[in-house]
Amino acid sequence: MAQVIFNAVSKSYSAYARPSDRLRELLWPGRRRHRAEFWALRDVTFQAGPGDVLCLIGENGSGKSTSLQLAAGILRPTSGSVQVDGRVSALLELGAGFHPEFTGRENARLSAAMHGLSKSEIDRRFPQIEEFADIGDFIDKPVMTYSTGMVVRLAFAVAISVEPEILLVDEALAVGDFYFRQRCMRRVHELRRGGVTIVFVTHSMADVQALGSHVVWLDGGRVAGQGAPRDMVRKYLAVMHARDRAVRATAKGKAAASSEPAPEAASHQRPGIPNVEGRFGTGRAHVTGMAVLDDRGRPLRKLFANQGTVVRIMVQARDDIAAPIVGFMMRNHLGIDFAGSNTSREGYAMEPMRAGERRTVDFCIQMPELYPGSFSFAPAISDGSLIDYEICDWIDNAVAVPMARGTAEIYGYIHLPCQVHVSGPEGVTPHDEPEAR
Amino acid sequence: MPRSSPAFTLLHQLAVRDFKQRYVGSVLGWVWSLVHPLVLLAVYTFLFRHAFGARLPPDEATDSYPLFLLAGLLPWLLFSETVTRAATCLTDHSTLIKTSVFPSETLPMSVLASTGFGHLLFVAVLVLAASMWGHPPGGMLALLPPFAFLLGLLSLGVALVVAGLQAYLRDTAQILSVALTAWFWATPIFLPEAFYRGPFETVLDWNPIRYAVLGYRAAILGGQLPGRADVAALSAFALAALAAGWVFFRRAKRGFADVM
Repeated sequence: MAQVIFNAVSKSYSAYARPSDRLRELLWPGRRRHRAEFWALRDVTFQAGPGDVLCLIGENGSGKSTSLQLAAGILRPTSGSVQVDGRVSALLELGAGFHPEFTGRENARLSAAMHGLSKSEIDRRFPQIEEFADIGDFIDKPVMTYSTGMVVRLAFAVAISVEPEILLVDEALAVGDFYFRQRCMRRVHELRRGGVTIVFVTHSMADVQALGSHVVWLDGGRVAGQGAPRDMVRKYLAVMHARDRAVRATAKGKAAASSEPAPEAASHQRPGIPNVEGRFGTGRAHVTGMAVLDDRGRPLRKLFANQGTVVRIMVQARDDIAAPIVGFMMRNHLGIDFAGSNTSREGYAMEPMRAGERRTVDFCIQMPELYPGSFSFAPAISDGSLIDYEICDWIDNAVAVPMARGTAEIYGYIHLPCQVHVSGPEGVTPHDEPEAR
Repeated sequence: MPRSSPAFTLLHQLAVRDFKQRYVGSVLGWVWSLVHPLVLLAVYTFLFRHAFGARLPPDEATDSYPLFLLAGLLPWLLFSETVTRAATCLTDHSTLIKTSVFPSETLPMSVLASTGFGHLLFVAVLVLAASMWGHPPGGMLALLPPFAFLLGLLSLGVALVVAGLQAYLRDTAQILSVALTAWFWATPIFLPEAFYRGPFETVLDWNPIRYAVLGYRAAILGGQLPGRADVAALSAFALAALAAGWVFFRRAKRGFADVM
């Protein structure tokens, strides 16, 4: 059974006084020398079974890549145990081992050999690799002529061609173009259904929510939390935002921001907000109300295509807000950020707000034809500019409204308004056309 | 290792890559690998023969100094090139070591395979040259494969040691190049064995490459067969080096990803 089990895994790197000490210790393990230790991973426990997609999230240097290297067997744990059952394919670095002067074909063949395929297996699977990479004639051109996206395509195509039971992916997918990402996602879903265990590292919370079945959040080499994607992503983003804000505050030489914790869910539920699923922000201003209305101001139970729709957000300042920005994020049923906007994005510069002041912001939208799923709205107010801002209040999924099923089919997520023009007929002589005379 | 196995495929791919990589983008390609020894040959022949007036003693199989020199130089080049390039093969591929799951011993092995291929070309050229200068290939040529094989094992053993060492001690390659220079002159390549007398005889006895040189000269130029003791000594050195290299490398590889 394909599985990855980390049991109290720690990994330390030792700073030796001399490099030769490291060698000596390796050859004669009994004799320990004085050394300073750096713990890249500490007491990390998690597991992933067949069909699981385990996402490792965390800031840079939190031990995500180290975990993957341990799972791949490239590194050995200093203590604890790493149990990996099944054929592993690791995509830890974009085109690792690709030599720029060799062709894609040569590089892919070597890469496949490094993944443990024999010559006949490589020959047999190469058409598949070529098809999945889908880079056309570039396959026989030197890799140095490739775009980054093409390198990822080829590398990913090779990594999955080995029919892994365990697939380890380190951020590589973040680079591909959208079309290819979609294909990778589909493939990942297929692999998952086929019982493959997938462990991947990502910074994209959208990927986590779309693909993940379990999330392990690493912070400074320790597990800061693990659980369902939705929960973990929310907690993670809240903490990241708080940290980001603290850093900015320090940079500006201000006193650290108020230590008041982000308001917790249920206890802060108030009239005007149908649902508070998660909430974070500095609290210097609050979202006090949220509604999705039709163009006459009546609450909508369903979204209708081509209908005037108003997203109304009510806010109140608790403190002076110099440059308020009010906005929302619309998420689909997978929790993926689907669409969103804010006052600044729409070119509306809001007046500064005094402490205690209330405002109501209406976003008037001509609703496009969307596929009939459920959409949720997360309102937010922040202070600053689009580049440098602090979130005062953010409420996850305050309102959920389904999209009404229209008469026509929606292919994909959204129907693009279009008109059809057909020219012709061509290629027939005039006297063959009955209407021509 | 069966030809159809993944390990062989990897070794083959890496060796081909290594061979091509040295000449990728150059117009003459692998022809360059012939240029280096030929220039060496020309320079040293001029120096020793014309400038110093060195003469080969009558008990050597040939009186052609260039042939004598080349027959001794070839095995040395196989050894020194393999070892020198193996020293940096892991650090050159540090990305692979850190990000891929594969047996890292295939890297030094592929270096040997790649230099070995070049070596075959040289030997073919030398045998051809020797036959033009009055040493037609004889039955002694059958000696060549076993000697080449033993020399390969020896080179691989030393290659594994230096490759593993270099990962931990980046001075290894530097020390190695100094050591190889000394080793070179301790091997009867330019000078016939007769030159190494007295205290130097011990040096010769403990120099494994010397036995390979003897074997190559006998195989290509004819003359006196190497003694059974010589073959035994070379085999012993080769197996010892390989065993030591293998054991050391297996141990050292556990920490490669940590130190790269």
